[in-house]
Amino acid sequence: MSKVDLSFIFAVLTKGVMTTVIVTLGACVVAIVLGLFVGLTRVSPRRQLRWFSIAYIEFFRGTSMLVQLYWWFFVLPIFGIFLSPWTVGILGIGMNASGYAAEYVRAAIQAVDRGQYEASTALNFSRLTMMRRIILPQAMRAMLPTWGNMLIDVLKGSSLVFFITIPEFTSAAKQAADATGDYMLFFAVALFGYYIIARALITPFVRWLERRVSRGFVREQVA
Amino acid sequence: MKIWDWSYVWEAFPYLYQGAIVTIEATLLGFAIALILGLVFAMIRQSPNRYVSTTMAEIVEFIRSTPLLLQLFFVYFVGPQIGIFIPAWTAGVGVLGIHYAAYCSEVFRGGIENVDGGQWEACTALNLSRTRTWRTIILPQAIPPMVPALGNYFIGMFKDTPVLAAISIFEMLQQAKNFGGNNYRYIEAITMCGFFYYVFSLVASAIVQSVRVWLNRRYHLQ
Amino acid sequence: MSEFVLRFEDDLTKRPRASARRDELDLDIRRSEKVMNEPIVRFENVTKRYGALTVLDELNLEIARNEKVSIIGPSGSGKTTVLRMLMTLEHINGGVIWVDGEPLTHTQKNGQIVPASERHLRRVRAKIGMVFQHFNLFPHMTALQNCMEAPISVLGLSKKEAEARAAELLDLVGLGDKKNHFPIQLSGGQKQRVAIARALAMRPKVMLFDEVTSALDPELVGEVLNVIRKLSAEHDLTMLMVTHQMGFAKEFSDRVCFFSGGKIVEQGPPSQLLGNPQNERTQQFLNAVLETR
Repeated sequence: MSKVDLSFIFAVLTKGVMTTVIVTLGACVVAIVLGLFVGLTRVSPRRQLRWFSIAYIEFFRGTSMLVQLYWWFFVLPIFGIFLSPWTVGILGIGMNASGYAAEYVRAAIQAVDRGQYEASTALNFSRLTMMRRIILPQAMRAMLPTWGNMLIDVLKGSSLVFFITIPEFTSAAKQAADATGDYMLFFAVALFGYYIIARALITPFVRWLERRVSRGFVREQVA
Repeated sequence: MKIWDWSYVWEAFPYLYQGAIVTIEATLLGFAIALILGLVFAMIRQSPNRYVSTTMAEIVEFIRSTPLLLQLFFVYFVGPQIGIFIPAWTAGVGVLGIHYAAYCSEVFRGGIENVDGGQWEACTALNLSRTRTWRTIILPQAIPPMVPALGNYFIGMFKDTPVLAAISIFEMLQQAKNFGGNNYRYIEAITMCGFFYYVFSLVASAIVQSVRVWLNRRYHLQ
Repeated sequence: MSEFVLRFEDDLTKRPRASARRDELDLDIRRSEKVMNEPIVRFENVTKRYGALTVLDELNLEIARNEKVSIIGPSGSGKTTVLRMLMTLEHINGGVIWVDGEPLTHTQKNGQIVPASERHLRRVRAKIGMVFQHFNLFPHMTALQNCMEAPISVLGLSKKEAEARAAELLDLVGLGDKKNHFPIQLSGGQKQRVAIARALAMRPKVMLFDEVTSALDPELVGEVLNVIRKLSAEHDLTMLMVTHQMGFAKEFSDRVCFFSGGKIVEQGPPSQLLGNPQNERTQQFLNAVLETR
């Protein structure tokens, strides 16, 4: 392996990692925003809104993520909509994950103790205030661990943009391995790379968030 | 040009049918591996030796936080490099199984830990043997609550099978894509694929649901 | 009369929603003379069913202003349902509940009685406060914040006003020093006292107590009952209480109602109902309860 090769390979891998991180972050934002929105409409008292969100969740959870990516990538152009691979990657993965996120939001909201709803009624809160001040803060705490898993799923899912021609981390590793023939090395590097991103970035971040919102749920020192 | 052309639907059908058989076979075989291997993982995690159990926990965590696609590449391409040739089908089904075994082992562990501690104490107090405790007391209470989670992973695995296309296994979505590429018509084949995945998920979750209800009634839980 | 009650009155003029306030004032002026003699709560043929099970069967019950009423009875007799319907936590299947001269879950429209809008519900509900068996404090808020949240977001008080009111009420229930504790850091009795302060912060005319001591350890029951005792002695409040504490019911209430099978079987002054019950079922119930003591 010559020196030129090595720096070239290093550049490819770095670019792949960056791509994976950007797609993951973008898709996470899409998933969280849409997931919260759809999850809230899922528990809305308005039937039309509930039906919309049920259809949304069913569509994005029921069909495979890769089917959805192909749909955005190969089918939308028929309708004259041309999305760049990047848009497809971020929106496609994000919307797929938002179907799951919406279900977590719904489950967490419905898991809040019924007494909290009753107390809110007794104190005459409007539905909006009840949701915003009483129910969501408690639901947030319950859903954060599941969101941690979802973020890792998004990270793993980002490897699928390989199929729509974006050179992310997995395909960069494959490219490097193909060029040098050393599959063991480069795939091992990639496996540990993903593992480190998941365990050293995502997990501690979610833990930190959990600590921030768990105020009042654990005994703590009061000044 | 029509947006949706039924003649392509009929033309694509044989392709998708072939692919669907591959997809379903891979899912069933893969899930069987996942269940057995998952149980093994879960039992190793219960090991009294702390090093063994933490190593197992870390391995499970590793498998769960790296992409299936990359694991597939690793097994399929690294084998030949060290002189072992693994056929694509074996590698594909094996990796699916190992990947989901990690998830299943967590379900098994959680299910067993969720059985009330008092049940163990009652079994000790009644002087039941260890195997009898497991077989007649613990497992009947532990398994029914696991069924929904295992069912979700079964459906999840089904929806992950398109990844196998990366090592040139012609499962359903790959067939649809090939059909689309040959005819310059993607919409019908890919939509049909999506529809099929959806129908399969519905059928599978209905089955899981009825198994759960049956188990709960069988063991008078809830 | 104490300062607490004075503030209670001027609250009506502080309501944030101008239209709601106008309605209320109009109604008050129109009815001002006869209102004071009218019962504040009136159940008229109220029926509640869960499927085939009838929990309350054509209940008729009137509660006068400032009256303290205890409801006793075996479990499943529908006594908690009475409170929950009054708090609009349960739908009613028949009849009308009148609160302060207005139907609670209905409005009169062209002489017809139709289901009420959310706005109407919220206006009438403002007159009622409730304390629950399991406290239902908001776990993510301190005791003070628990008492401030609703006055701020429902009554439109400023943060400062709400804090002053909450602090005053926490003092009233003897928890002035626990203001910044979270519910998890409080004992059951303390939690229940915060819950009482939280309900009072909304300045209700009617307070509902739903088995407020049933979830408490025996040694913590007294502190909660003392707070209720103090409230009833010092303030103009209509109180409706479901309880298993016969001694307290006897001392505290103007009237005791014995519920059984979804009906009021017997009611009367505590000395009579608890001391010399006429109905056979009341006798059986009281014997059973007193024997376990």
